[in-house]
Amino acid sequence: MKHKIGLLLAILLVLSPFVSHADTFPKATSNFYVNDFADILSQETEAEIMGISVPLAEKTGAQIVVVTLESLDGETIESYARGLFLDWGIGDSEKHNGLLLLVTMEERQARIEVGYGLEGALPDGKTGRIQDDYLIEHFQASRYNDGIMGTYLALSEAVYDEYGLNSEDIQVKSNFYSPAATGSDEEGITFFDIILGIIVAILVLLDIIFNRGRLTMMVVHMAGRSGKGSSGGGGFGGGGGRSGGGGSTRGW
Amino acid sequence: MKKGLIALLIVVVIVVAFAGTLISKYNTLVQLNENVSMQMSEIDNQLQRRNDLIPNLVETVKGFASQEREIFENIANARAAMMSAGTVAEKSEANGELSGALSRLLAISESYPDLKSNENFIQLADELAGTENRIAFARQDYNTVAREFNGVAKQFPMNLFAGMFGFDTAEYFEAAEGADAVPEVDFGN
Repeated sequence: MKHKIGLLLAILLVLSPFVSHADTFPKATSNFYVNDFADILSQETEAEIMGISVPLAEKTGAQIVVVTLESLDGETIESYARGLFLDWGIGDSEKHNGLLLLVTMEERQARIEVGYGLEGALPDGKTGRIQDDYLIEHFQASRYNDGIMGTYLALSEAVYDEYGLNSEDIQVKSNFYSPAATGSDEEGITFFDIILGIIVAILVLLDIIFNRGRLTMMVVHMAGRSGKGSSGGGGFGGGGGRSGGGGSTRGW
Repeated sequence: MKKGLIALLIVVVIVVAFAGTLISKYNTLVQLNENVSMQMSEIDNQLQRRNDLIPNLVETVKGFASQEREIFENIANARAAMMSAGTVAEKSEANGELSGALSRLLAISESYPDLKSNENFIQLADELAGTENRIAFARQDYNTVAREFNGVAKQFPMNLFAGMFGFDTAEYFEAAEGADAVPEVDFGN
């Protein structure tokens, strides 16, 4: 019997990453506004982005999000960007004032995706111009950090203007927030975790035997859904904004 | 006498239950029909937006490549067909034609370096690419709700009444072969 529980626990542990990654999109980091999956940004840049995006979102609901990826795995950057935008719900759910800067290294492409509510402030032509002016040259010289910072600042300036904000009012800057070092938020498994795991495994087993696993399926289903809107761990999350495919794409 | 009453009662219960299902399905269909029209008007908005962009874009390109007459002519024809398209099928076909003609227009910029680096052209090309992208997504969203609507309309018992209530099957906005690609100009080089 002991062995069986251990086995079940092992199966659950193996399966858990698949359950939480039911969507094709990665989960946002707890920093939400900066997700450097391709690992091309410096700590300072990440801190600066947080220092601008966080107070901006608090004041206006507008969310400016930066995502760097290793690869799109065959999808076009346009459909990936919009899919991610909707999945994370970037921007306020009524103002739809989200903004996404997506960079993918393997395809050497960058895209600015604009939520419905910011299309006036950032028409497609302007987003292309911003990339031409601030991104491409740096990227061609492999200065990804500079390219992203410059583009991000130009975008946030356009959003400040849209809301009649003075950029100095909002720049509490890097001292406002310093992002956690990547990877350091993974703590070791405690004794408590193990006990909890065994209790859950027993409950699941009972559910499977007496209830054909209905409750388990329901919980798994719910967990898959609730993972969409808010990210856990006391971090930041999307407000439920939408985009319709506005913005522009550049290659470098 | 009592038997007759019971039979009547059963019939009444069945009729009420049937009517209840029908009413709730009807309400669902009304809502879905609304969604279909809403998504269709989103496509129309974007098609209109693109039609408005074209004259400016063509003028700009003419300034650098006036000899590309065939392309300009194709665009003018496709644009006219787009404007006179009424049904979903007509719009969908005209949209494919126009997308193809426009992507050829953008592609000729490769042979005209002055055009390719012209700021006005770059801006218009970005607006066009953005609009094509919006059309593609609006089309997807439309087809999704159209499929949902048709699914309910074809289900029993609604299939018997949908026509009577004035619900036609929603036509899909299908992409023509090869019209899927968003025209892309690489300004990076």
